[in-house]
Amino acid sequence: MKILETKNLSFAYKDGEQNRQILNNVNTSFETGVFYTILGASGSGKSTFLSLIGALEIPQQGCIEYMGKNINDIGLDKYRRKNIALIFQNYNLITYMTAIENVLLAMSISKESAKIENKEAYHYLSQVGIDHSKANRLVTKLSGGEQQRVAIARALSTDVDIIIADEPTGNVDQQTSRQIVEIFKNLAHNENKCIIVVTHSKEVSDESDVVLFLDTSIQNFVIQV
Amino acid sequence: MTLVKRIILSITRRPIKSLLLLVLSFALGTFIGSSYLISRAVNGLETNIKDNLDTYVVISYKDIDEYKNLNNLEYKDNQNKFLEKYNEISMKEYVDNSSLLQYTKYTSFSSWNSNISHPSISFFVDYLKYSVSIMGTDLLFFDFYEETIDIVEGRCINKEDIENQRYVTIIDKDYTYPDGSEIQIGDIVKVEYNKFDLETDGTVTQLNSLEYEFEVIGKYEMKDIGRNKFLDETYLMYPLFIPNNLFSQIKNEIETTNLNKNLNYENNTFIYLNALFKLDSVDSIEDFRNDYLRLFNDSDHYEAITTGDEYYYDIKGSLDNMSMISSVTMFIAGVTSIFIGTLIIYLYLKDRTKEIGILISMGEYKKKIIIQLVCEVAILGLIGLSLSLIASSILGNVIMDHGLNIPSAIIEDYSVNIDIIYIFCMYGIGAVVIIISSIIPVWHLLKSRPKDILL
Repeated sequence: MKILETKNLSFAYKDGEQNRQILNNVNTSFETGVFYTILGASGSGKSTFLSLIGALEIPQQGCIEYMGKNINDIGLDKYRRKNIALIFQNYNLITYMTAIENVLLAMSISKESAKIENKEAYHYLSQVGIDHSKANRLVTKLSGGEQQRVAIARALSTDVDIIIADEPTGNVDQQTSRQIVEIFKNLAHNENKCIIVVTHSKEVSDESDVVLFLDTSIQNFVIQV
Repeated sequence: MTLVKRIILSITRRPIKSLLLLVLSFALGTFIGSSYLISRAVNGLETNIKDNLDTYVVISYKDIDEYKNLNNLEYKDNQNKFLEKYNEISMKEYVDNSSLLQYTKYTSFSSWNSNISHPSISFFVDYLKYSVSIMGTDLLFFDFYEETIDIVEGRCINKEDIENQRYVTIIDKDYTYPDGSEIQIGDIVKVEYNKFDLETDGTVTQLNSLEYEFEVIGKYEMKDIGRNKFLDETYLMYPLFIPNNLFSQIKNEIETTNLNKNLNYENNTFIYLNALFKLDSVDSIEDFRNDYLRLFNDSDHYEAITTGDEYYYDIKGSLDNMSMISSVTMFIAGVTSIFIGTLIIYLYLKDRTKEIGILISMGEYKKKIIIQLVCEVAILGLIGLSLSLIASSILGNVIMDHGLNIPSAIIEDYSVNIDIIYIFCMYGIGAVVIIISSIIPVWHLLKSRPKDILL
């Protein structure tokens, strides 16, 4: 099912007095149950595209539609709260909270007035291999790989349809990287999530269902088979 | 996770930063608070001192010996001019009360004799035997000379005596009857005015005589300071104090009978050389001095002595300094605290930029982010302010105690106190500073591009 679509999406950065075009009329769509990876050279606009579909940036031209509705009409805050979850290369966890508190925070934001159970949060953490004792540690006391798992659990706990990850394996070891990829595959194929991962890693892209290559010459995607 | 729990976690899990903000608000609160309290205490103290001080002015004739040598016309002229000037000053707005200190004295051809005697008063001529002097007094007089005259028996002249012109008197404690027996309270003292003529052979011819009787209502003891203040052994010898308006009545009566008998009236049997004024406040001394100089500048014979200001002007310099210092300090404290407070709070919140970005990326409502951060700052700030309420009071009292040296006679107790108004002001101002200092940086941070923060 098509869940996310970009239409004539364009974005340029101001480079001194000139505008440097990063994305030019990008038209692409994403479906649930599919694991996407976005590849491209450094500076090709991958993170820019991710920030646009993550509503962290506003396009200069074009629009982004979620389930056929413009995300501006949905409301960017609401779109981020209810429809997508973001995972970052540098984890971006709240450092003075424990693993479980980070997950509970995300749950309280996305589910608003609903009653939040601690055991639910523990469940999400256990899904990514964080046991009870590690769940109660400050995130700064966890390894890089464990922190990234917590970030994934945080994303899972929001129960959204789209998970967008920016270089999720960039700061972890190879074993953890493989485990993270497996989690993403499981989420896509078994949980019917739409997983969009920006990566440099060929190992990660090889595991994905669809690879989108961002061609700097056309500032647009090319689907790699 | 509720907003409250987030706030508590943020404060408790970042103890050093939280403590820093708390200490800052405590320090600034103490600084501003103590300045404000001192300023208020100094203003209150100045008012209190002025209220407690009775400001008297005595205008007196400096050179009694010169006065003795005036002839009748010069004397009369001098007395009339003095009376005019006294009346003019008495009518001034800044004068609460006034009293013309008038008394009798013996002259070559008149005397005041009584039926009582004093061991320190003796004359070698018969017609001056048992001479006394009478002084007209009123309540202002007794207020002013409170520490120089002690009533050791009976009572002092009071308001009813004055209003009703009662023939009462208070006499020096050492007066006795000529046979040495004690004068009792309630006894009647007789005083006889005699106008006489002296023949060359020493014969005394009585020309006029008037007798007055006064009930003794009290006995006084005059301290040395009193003697030095206004007694001159030639003019005042342990006077019999009577109500001033009664004295004027007696004076008029004697002057009238002398004139009626075509007697060569000696004006200087009645003297007023001193005037006493009670001013409404210490601040009026300057006005009085201007009027005094204007009226008496052609005369070197008078001097004006002010009391009450001796204490006030001793400390006025300190009070003015304290008031100025505290006002300036309070202004500087207020301005710097807002500036420093905003800066520190901005730095405290800037540290949270990433957290703000994370919350935005999770779709948190911006108003909740603002509420969380402002509440954190407010809680720490208000705890610090609460502690500063006590500290500022202690600091204010310490500074006041060491900054001023006020005689306890003036004011026994002053203190730098916190009251409900001060508490409301501190919390109110503190809340405004906190809110302004935190909302502006938070809003500025919220306007940052999340992408720049997170990616």
